[in-house]
Amino acid sequence: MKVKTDWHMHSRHSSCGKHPATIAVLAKEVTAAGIEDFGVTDHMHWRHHIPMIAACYAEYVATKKPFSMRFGLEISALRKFDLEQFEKLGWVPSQVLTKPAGTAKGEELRIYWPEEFISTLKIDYLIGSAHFPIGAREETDSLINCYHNQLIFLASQPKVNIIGHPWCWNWPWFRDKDTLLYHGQPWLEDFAIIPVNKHLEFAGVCKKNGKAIEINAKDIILNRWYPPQFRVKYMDYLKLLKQEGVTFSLGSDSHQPGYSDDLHKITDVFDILGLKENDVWMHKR
Amino acid sequence: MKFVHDWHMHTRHSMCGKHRGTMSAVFNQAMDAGIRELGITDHLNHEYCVPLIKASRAEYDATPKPDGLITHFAVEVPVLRKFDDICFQKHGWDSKTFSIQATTAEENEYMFYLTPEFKEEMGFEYVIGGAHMILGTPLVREEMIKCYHRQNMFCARHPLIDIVVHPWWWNGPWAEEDKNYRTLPWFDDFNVIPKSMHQEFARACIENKKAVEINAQAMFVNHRYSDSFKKQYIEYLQFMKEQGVTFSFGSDSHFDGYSGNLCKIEDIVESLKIAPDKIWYLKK
Repeated sequence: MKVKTDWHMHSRHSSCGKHPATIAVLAKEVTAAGIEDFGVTDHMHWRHHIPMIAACYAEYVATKKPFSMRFGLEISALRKFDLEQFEKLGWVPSQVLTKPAGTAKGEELRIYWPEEFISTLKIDYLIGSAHFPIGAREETDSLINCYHNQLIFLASQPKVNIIGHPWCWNWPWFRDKDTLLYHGQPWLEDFAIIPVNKHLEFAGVCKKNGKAIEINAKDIILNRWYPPQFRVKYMDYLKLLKQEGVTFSLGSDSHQPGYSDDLHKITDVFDILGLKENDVWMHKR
Repeated sequence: MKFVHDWHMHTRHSMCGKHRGTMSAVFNQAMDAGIRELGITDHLNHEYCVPLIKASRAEYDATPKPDGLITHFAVEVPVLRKFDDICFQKHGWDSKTFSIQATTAEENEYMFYLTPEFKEEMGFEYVIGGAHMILGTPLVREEMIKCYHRQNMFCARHPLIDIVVHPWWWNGPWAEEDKNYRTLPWFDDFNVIPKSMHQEFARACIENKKAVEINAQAMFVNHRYSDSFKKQYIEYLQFMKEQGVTFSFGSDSHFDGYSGNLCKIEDIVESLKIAPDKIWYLKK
């Protein structure tokens, strides 16, 4: 399969992005990599991201770019508790996101959606991702339930188009402080520990609500901090989703000074899944 | 002298800025450093900076300002040749024209990539400008001195400019292996620059109501410049004071937030004993 789309990449306007990744640089390098349709998707999780997104959008509008470039956002599932605490305290993730103020059941989750600010943007599409353990205990079952609830919540949100990097784990728990390698928990060593019925439920909700599921290059398939066996088991997961008939979306999740072009490094994944260019998600204007 | 004003600083929207230099970080760290009024002055070099300046303006507008801090949105422009402008239009940033030895330029061939219309569109409350590049000048001391003087004079006479920044700042060739400047173009002896040039520059600034910047980061906190050069530069500022110029103060912060470098030159500025009416403030 020829990689023609990339719907997940970050510019300098994400706090995890890199300074030289201007919209112009991204547009130039993505196009040079042969990607025909793509979008920039910086993070908008809570209030302190508003100035960054405002800057990103102003730069996006002012930049000479290909017609095929779109403006998206990556949002996160959060609890009402988290949003209230960030309003009070500012951006202090370790003091908020792990506080067990409530379990992350679907009905308690939120996305940050400031209507007045959003009305100043023309957003082409949204990626919704689970990024944080939001109140779960530091043990596998609790985290599996927490992340599954987040995925189901995001797949049920009318505004969301793509579910980003399902089962990506990048919280500092279970990570060696020196080597930065993850030890294996909560599901990185044995991905099969996640009950299949959760995957089936997730696939069903995505299909029902017309959501695409992302095949993420940087944070999942090429994640060098994960145990090597993770990729093998994750392939089984993707095969299961394919059998269930979900639509996949391709995302490099580039956080480079320019564009990482990581999707071209995982074309074997697309081939194993038997994906064709027309099978994957495409933003329609 | 305790600084509470800083009229020159960069955010993450300057190419030379730092990724974590958000407006929020700059404002809050400047407050912590004792600054109570500041101006954001990201670079507008040419067309490729326009999206970055627009991003800067959008983030400036969207960022809550701390209580007790007065903020302004401004811009820094470098002197360009019309030759550079043409090259940029043809080839974009990749043309790297600033040092191309294609042509030297007389003052009437200089320009800024700033128009009154864009100033109004972006709401720049003031404009700072200065010599940043060698603009095709032959690598000969005397020619370089003339080039930088011409650029300073161009800034001092230009109607859009309020502050002439870091006069005689140098970031070009002639660095030694350790990256320090010790010789050319004026680091072995700042007196190689004729005093008549300083007098002409001072007169032009006074006549055209421009302030001359005392810059922390680029001049006095610059680790690539020697102590002996900095001592001579203080004498130059003393001379400019005697000519009657008005000074402005700028940290030229390029930090992951705000550098606080102004506090490192408090003693220097104190020693100049600048009269209060010779210190630039933004007039409403």
